[in-house]
Order: sequence, then structure tokens, then C-alpha cells
Amino acid sequence: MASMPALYSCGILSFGSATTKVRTLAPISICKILTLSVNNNLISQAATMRVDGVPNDVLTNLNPFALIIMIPILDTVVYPALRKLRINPTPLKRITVGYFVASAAMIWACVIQYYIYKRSECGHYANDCDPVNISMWAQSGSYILIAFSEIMASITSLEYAHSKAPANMRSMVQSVALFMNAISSAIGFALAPLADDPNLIWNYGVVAVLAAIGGTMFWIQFRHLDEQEDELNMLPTGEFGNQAAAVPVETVKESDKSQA
Amino acid sequence: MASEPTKVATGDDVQTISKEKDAGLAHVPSRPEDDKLGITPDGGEPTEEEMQTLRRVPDKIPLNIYTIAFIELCERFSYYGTTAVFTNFIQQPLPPNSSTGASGDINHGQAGALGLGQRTAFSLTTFNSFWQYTMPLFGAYVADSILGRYRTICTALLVDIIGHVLFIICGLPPVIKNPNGSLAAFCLGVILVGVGTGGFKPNVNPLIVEQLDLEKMVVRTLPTGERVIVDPATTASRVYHYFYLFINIGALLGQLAMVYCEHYVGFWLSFTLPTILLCLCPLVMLWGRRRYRRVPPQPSTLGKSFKLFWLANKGRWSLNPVKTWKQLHDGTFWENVKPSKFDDATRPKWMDFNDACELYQKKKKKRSGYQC
Repeated sequence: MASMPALYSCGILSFGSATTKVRTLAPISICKILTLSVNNNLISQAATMRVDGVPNDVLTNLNPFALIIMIPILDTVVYPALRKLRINPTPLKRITVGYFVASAAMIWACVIQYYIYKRSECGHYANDCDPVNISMWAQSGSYILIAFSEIMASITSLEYAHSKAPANMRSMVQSVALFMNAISSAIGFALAPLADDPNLIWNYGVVAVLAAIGGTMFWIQFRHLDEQEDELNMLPTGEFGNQAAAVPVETVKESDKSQA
Repeated sequence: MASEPTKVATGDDVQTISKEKDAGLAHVPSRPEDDKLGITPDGGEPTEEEMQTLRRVPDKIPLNIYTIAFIELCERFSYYGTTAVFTNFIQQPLPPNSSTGASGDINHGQAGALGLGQRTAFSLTTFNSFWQYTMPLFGAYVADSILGRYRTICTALLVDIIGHVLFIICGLPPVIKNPNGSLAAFCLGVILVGVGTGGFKPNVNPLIVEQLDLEKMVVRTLPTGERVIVDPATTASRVYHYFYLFINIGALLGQLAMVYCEHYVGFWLSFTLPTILLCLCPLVMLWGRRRYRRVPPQPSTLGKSFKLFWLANKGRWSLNPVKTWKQLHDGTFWENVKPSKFDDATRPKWMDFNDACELYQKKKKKRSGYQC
């Protein structure tokens, strides 16, 4: 792909740029599968913990709540600070971080599961006994880390709308990203029966390892594109059609007249 | 991390750049000593060295973008608010002495309406989520190639509202009494809302980014005297971070509040409030009718793209995966299918453009110019 930048200047081949973006969408959804498949398990995990009279799925609201708090902090404090240190948080770097944070979230769940099994009267069959004396708020860490990984990975897939993909393929790139969600949840459904006592520590542990390996592989495979980030961003908008760049309504009307 | 994060944050806003941008290079007095040192004047494209050394900052975010983010907030509120009560609505029976489905106690009661059991509830909610994720493929095609994003979104919102009105009808006390009729309206509602979301979701993100003014990196001097690069990619990144924030505000409010409505008032309210918020969306779109920048649709080039992709893949696959990998990644994947690599005899018929995407034979112009 070393010759990609040269090809960007050519309209038809900007399809190449679109496919490159789409290629990185698949790893993003793998990252999502890893976190989504665990989301339901965390609700069941809460059922084996001390709930203090609150429904056991109330903590899932912690995810959007954490997002609402973290996004402004990242935007106003963390990113500017990084940029001041001349570290540009490019999409590919953020996706990689997203993988490792997802891995950390799973390790958190894994440790909690270890203590649930350790303290439960039924040992590795904790679901058959009374809840253990650990507050379900101990799960907060997992939810917050998942939210953080979502900022890193999911927002990046939105940013691809701003890619140099040709204007008449922008919506398509977004719809493919959405369709990947369908595939993620399908795989999530398929894996759900495997997540049950007495394997739950393994369940979280394996996902943590997969996410860490995934992050490493992702960075190795796409590192070279990260170095070209500026170069690719500076190129003119891909024109897989006529004047593809955004034109104000008035201008469009005028050009229509001139063509007629 | 930097030692003074708050200071960093305040220095980050470039309030005037997009206004002055149009003035362009011509109005910027370029001092002769700057030229000697290779310093780009304000509004100019940064040099290689400046890209390495200057700090990146986002451009100012125009009002249009906030309004589109608000539309997305309302749409997500309506979607998550409604789906949050789906399972109870289908699965659980009407609570005793209730005609609305309300249980009266969120912690111990069980709200319900149709009482069709877990299997029906699971099938319907699963169908709903897959439908929501597949329809965008259709909505994106319509927007890219036929209607354009603005008109697709408007049409989709209307379909979406009709779907939500059907949900309200399902939840009305006289209708709940008749589970079969209610279920029929409910299924139709799910289908319409899916079509609406499909036309809405994939098109809002591109519409938002098309409202940004800046297209290339430019150098700018802040009031503090620091020279920075105003970067479109950084701007888009900031926009999408807050866009995601709005999505989550909508989702959180929707799913929290509608569960309370379901338990204390009844399903009709859990379906009505989302519909009211959704009805705000067309009003905002109307406001933006002349204000939003629109990209005209262009006849789809998808077919040609895939033909090209197919051609590029040809002869690169082998039973040996290592060999396949090497042949796919030898750096000539797109290079070899450039039109200039073919002569008149070998060029496929559909390849009617050259490397710069101009047509070979300029026949009469099609409606919106030709594609390549």
C-alpha cells in the first residue's frame, strides 16, 4: 500500500481510500463484539452480588453516564495536553488504545468473578446460591472502562464520515459501520451460551487476552497508515463523480443552470 | 500530561478563523523576513516542518452542527425510550386492575401488556435490532445516489413518526385489551421505525461533517502569539465526540424516563413522549432547509467500483495463504488497475475513464455530470 498516497489524487482510485477505511472497520467491530458480548454477562454477574434493593441492570446506565462525563474531559483537557506534547491522537492510535482499554475492562470483570467464586458458598456455581457479600457497585470499573474504550473505538468509526471517501459513498461507509454492529450482536448471541458457571473467570479472561492481542495486531498492521495520516488528510477530496465536494445550495442551482 | 491542563483548554478555541478564512491569503500582509525563514503566513498551508512542530487545534464549530446534533439527540431519545419498554410490553400480561399496563411500583411490580411470553418477546426484539442495522444499507444508497442526504433524512423522519404513532395506538388502553390487534399494529410499527432509522442514521453523520467550513490545514496565530495549525481532522474529531455525547444524552434520558412512565402511568405515555421529541426533528430540518449545506446525489458508482476491485483482486489469490497475502500487499494492488495500464484492446468495456477520471469519449452529459 506504499503507493496509496499517489493514487489518492486519482478519482476512481479514491475508492481505494474508502476500502482502506472499511478495512479498519472490521477490527473496530471486533473490539465492539468483545465488549458487547460481555455487557449481558455483567448483568448476570450483578445478580450474584449484593444489590442493596436496586434492580441488577441499573448499572448499565453507568455506561452512557460515564460517556457524558468523559467526553468533555477528553476534549478539553486530555487531547489538548497531548497535542501540546505534539502527540496527535489520530484515529488509528485511538482504536489501538480502545482495544487495550477493553482488555482492562475484562480483567476488571475477571478479578471480580474470581472473588465471587472464592466467597460463594457454592464455589464455582455461584448462580445456584445466595448472592455473595460484594456490592454490585464494584462492577463500576468495568462499565467505565467499557465506556472509555467506546469513545476510543466507536467515535472513530463515526469520524470516517470525514474521510476522503467520495461524497457519494460517505453514507455507504456509515451504513457498513452500522451493519457491522448487526454482525457483532449476532456473534454475541452465538457466544452467549458458553458464558455460564463454572467457566466465567475463563470467559472474561479469554476476552481480555483476545482484546490485547487484537490491539497489538491492529497496530502492527495499520501503523504505516498512521504515519501517512497527514498526507492523506491533506489530499483533495476524492472525486468518484463530478464536483464531489460540498457545495452550498445556491451554488448547486447555478451550476445546474449552466449545464442545462 | 501537561502541567496546566486548564490553560491548555482555554487556548484551544479559535473563534474567528472560519470568518477570516474566506479572506484568504491575499489579505494577509506577508512580511519579507517571513518568506526568508520559510514561515507560512496566517491562512497559508503549513510546511512539512510546521506540521511536525506546530500544535493542532480544532476550528470553530458552526451553529448548524449543534442543530443536527440536537436532531440526533431527539431521534435516539425516541428510539431508546421506546425499545426500553418493548420486552415488558410484549412478554408480560397486564397487571391486575390495570388498563394501561402500569404496575405502580418500579422496584417490585411488573409492568406488562400483551402477555405473549418470553419467546415472542425475544424474537421481536431481536428482529427489531437486526432490522435497525440492515436498513441503513438501503437508506445510504438512496441518499448517496437518488435523493441526497437532506431529503432522505426528511422522508425517513416522516416514516419514523408514523411508526411511532402506531406504537402509541398499540399502547392505548382500549387497544391493549385486544392483544392480537395490538400486536399487528406493533409489528407494522417496528418495520416502519426500522425503515425510518435506516434512512436517518447513516446520513446524519455525513450531513454533519458537510457543514464544516475548513477543508485543509491552515496556519494561524493565536492571540497569545502562539502559531498553531487549524486542522480539519481535529475539528471533525471534536464534532463527533460531542455528537456521541448528544447520542448518549438522548439514549440515557430516553431509557431511564420511559421505564418510569411505563411503571407509573402506562405504556401509552412511554410511547407518546418519544414521539413528541421525534416531531421536533422535522421542525429543525425545516429551519435548516436553506441553512444546511447539501451535497447533490450522484448516480451510484458502486457497480463500477466493485468491478475495479474485482479486477484488482484477479490473479492475486492462491491456495497458499502466505502467497495470497504477499500478492495482495505488494503495493501494486490499485496501481495495476489504473486505466493507463491498459491499451484500447485490453481495457474492459466498463472502464470509460482515465487516471484523472475524465471520460474518454465525452458523450452527451448526464443529469449531474459524469461519474468516475
